[in-house]
Amino acid sequence: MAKEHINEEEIFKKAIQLANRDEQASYVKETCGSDKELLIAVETLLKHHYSNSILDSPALGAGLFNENNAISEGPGTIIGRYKLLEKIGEGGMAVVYMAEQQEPIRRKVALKIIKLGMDTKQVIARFEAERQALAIMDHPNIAKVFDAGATETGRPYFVMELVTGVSITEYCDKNNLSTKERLALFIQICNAVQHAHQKGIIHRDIKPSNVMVTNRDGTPVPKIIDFGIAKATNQRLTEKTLFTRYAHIIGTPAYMSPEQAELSELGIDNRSDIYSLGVLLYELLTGTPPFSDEQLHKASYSEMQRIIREDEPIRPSNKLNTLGPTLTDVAKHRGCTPDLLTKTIRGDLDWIVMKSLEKNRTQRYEAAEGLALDIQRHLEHRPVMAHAPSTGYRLHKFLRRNRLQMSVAMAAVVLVGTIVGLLVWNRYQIRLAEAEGARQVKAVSEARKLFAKGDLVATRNILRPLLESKHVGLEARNLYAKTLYNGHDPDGADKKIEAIMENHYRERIKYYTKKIAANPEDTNNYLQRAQQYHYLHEDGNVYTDMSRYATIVTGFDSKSTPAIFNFGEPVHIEPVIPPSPIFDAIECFSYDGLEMYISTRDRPGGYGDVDLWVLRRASTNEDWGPPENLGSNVNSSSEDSFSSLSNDGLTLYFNSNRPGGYGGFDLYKTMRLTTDAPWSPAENLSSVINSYSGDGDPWISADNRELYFMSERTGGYGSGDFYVAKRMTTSDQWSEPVNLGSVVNSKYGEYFLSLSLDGLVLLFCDHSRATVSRPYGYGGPDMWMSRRATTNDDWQSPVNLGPVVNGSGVDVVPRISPDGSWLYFLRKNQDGTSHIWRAPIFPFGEFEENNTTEVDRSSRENTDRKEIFTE
Amino acid sequence: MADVTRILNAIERGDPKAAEELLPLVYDELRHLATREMLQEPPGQTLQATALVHEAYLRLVGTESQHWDNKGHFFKAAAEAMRRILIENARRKRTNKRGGNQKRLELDESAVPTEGNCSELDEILALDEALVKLEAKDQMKADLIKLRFYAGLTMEQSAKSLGISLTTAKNHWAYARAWLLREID
Repeated sequence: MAKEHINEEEIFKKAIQLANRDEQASYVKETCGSDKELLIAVETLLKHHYSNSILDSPALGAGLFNENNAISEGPGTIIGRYKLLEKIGEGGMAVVYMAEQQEPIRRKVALKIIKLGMDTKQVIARFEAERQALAIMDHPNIAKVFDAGATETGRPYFVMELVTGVSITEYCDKNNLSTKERLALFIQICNAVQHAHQKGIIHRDIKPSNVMVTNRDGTPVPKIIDFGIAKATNQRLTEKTLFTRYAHIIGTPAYMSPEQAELSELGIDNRSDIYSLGVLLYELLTGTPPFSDEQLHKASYSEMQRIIREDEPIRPSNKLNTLGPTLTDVAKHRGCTPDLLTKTIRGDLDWIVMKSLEKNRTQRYEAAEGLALDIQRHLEHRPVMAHAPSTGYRLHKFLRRNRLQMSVAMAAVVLVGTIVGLLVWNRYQIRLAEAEGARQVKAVSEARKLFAKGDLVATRNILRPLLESKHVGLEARNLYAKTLYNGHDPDGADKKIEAIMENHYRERIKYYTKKIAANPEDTNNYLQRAQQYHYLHEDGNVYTDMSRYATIVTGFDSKSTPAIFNFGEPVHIEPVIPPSPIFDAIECFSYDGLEMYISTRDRPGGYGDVDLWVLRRASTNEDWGPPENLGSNVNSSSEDSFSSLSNDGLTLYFNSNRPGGYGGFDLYKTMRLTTDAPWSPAENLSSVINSYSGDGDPWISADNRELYFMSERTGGYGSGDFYVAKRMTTSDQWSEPVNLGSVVNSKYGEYFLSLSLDGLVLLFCDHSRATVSRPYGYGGPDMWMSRRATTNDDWQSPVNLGPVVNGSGVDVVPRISPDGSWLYFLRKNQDGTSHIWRAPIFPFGEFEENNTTEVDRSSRENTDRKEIFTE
Repeated sequence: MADVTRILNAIERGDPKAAEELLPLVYDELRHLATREMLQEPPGQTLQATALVHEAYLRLVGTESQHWDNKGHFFKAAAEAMRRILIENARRKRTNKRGGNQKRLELDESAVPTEGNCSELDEILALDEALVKLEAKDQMKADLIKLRFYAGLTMEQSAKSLGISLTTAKNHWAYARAWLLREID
């Protein structure tokens, strides 16, 4: 700040106390007098005082970490041919203005400006691609989209028919529309969607705020807005961007179909809209979507996906019973009593909604028209398609349709009266049971929360009376089993439960045994049964099932092939190395067991970002020394990680995204003359190995002749695939890398690989960001292995490392200790922290025919943690 | 825990070195909390600076010290730490434009995997440069900006932390804000 403006602060502060800008201007002019420079300085300050800036909300709260959501446009701004008039709506993703179009015709339009920093060009290109189709859409219940473009600040905008009204849910509730009236509106919406589908346009984002209702001459007219916009903007929902942004972009996961939750663009078709229509109908009927936004927002992303993909929604009529006191309100808004509302919805409407919400879209209505027709049938008391028609059901419908005629046949009346009476009584009983069930479901979910918090005693207290419930018993017992498994009850209150639990496990075993008998090739059943045996501590049976599982999946006979594992109970270990706020992953060990390589972010003494460090010890009986940075020859200011050491300990392969590579991450190597000598400057493995995409996670085989790595290059099976380059001797060049093929690589993504010492077992993880994990996993990214009989054979189908080491969350970076007796891996805890875990490895070969183990497990108890870590 | 309380008391007693000791502790804790928040992948939530800072306070200091002067020192350190975290991320994002850098992010979300566009990152970095100038000129106003913008404190809290009246804080804020924006312009 220049010295001559020494008074500007005072003048500025006085000026802003004045009532209006005119007064301010004259005050400033007067005070500054002939000092033009001062005048300009203060005027500039004032100008900024009245402008928006990033300082106006806290850095993080405003999402600056993510993106700057601020929109500089406001009323009066001219965008293209449009002049903004007033803001009429604002959501997480966009701001909507009423705007005036000047040419070629003068009209008022709605102009929607997208907030997020999307790739504007792409958004507009995608919109252009659909523009023709959008133009031929002409339906009274669809708001037209006229135009799209980019604002001066580079944000995409869309110009639409101006719809004045409120969202359909708001409209219905405000006007206390009856269920029948709601259905009539909904049928119109279905027909509009049908029209769009016939023109080849999928909405992709049907939700109440996109279905507006306007009043025309006293008649409500629904209008669907935003057709074509979801497609233009949503395609950015790749795994990567989604991770941080989906909440803003999707806005309401409650309306997202299972296939949309998968995020694969390919899987979305007309039936995704049918699903969203089903959710909308659900909400119109019950006042709440099947999975509330609240419920979904509370869940982690993967949990949210799981709920949408797997959880069966509660039937609308049952949902009403779970609403508690709000049910009265919901009923009032529909102009009836709670009982009547439940009765109206139970049956046809339940089925219609549930058919629209089928997880498997082939089970949904084929077309929006079908949905509309079924509702029409319901309104006319004709049988609906959503219900598999039984004679009783059709009779019931017939009676309803022909109520008047019924009075002529006295006998029939008596008969029907009896039937109806029975039905009503039955229904009453059912409703009682359902209410009881709803309460119990609630209790179990409460228990689940307590369990997640680690309050085992409280969890058990809630579950105890529910263990034999016919509604939730199974769930309760499963959860109860987990509490027992995770920690024992000191006061022995659970002694009595043991019998129930054992019975439970036995029942489960019987169940899976039956399933296995029916379909011996379905591997999942073996895993499930192994889990039950595991709870019963029948390890022999656990191993047998795991072995059968592995045999079927890999086509290997585990008895004849040595290098397959089972694991002892893993324990988590705290590093003795100075803790870093970020976890440290063990990346590899030297073959003599005297060096352990880790990588860690921003550890003091590093060169920036992630660096490679080594811990040493003089003998395997001693503690590890402090971590030493590999030095500036190896580490750069970018990320240097995932190292793999050759068997002689003289070549270290790793990946880095330092400048000067071929693209993203590249593989590098560094060498040393002896294990005490310094590392040579890192050398890029050249374009023979590296591609223009990310290449990382190198693993050099023990014989030094195979270099495995992960690459995201094009032509693979998923986001990351494994490749191998080979050479005959260490002095030869690496061959062109070859994709490991579809047996190992999949659409699920493969990462963080390592090899066993004998080179016969390949350990890896599925992708922690993949929207779908490999089937038969235990939740979150899991660790897997693939085997081969000899190094000349092909890799076999991967198998899950099993429930002992794969928890429900993130279990990654599997590494085998140099002596082959421990599996080290990284687990993300529920509270977000990460820990290194290790589990003892028991080779299968040591098990006898009769499934009893000869391994002395106690010899490998997790007591000697000092070896590397202390608690 | 007691460590931070001890340092805060030392600052209170006027030990000039104590403030230097405080920053790295608060920085580490905030980094840790921010990382944890990111790892939890909470749909629909943005990180709340103020929540992070207050949690860091409870974790590092506990509830035994309720003295506002004490808290003020803490928040000043926290604001500076948040600023550094933010700037580091902005710089990292700018240098990591080549893509393919999602590898390690798999496991380590501390880098806050987003790709704000360059002009926004530039804005953050430009603001930081201007703030350095303001610090040289008027430390208190710079502190005020940091407390509000980086630590997310309210005007009242910021005023208390700095030991000034609310009116003074408001006036200072208006001037410092306009000054910074003019500087960036």
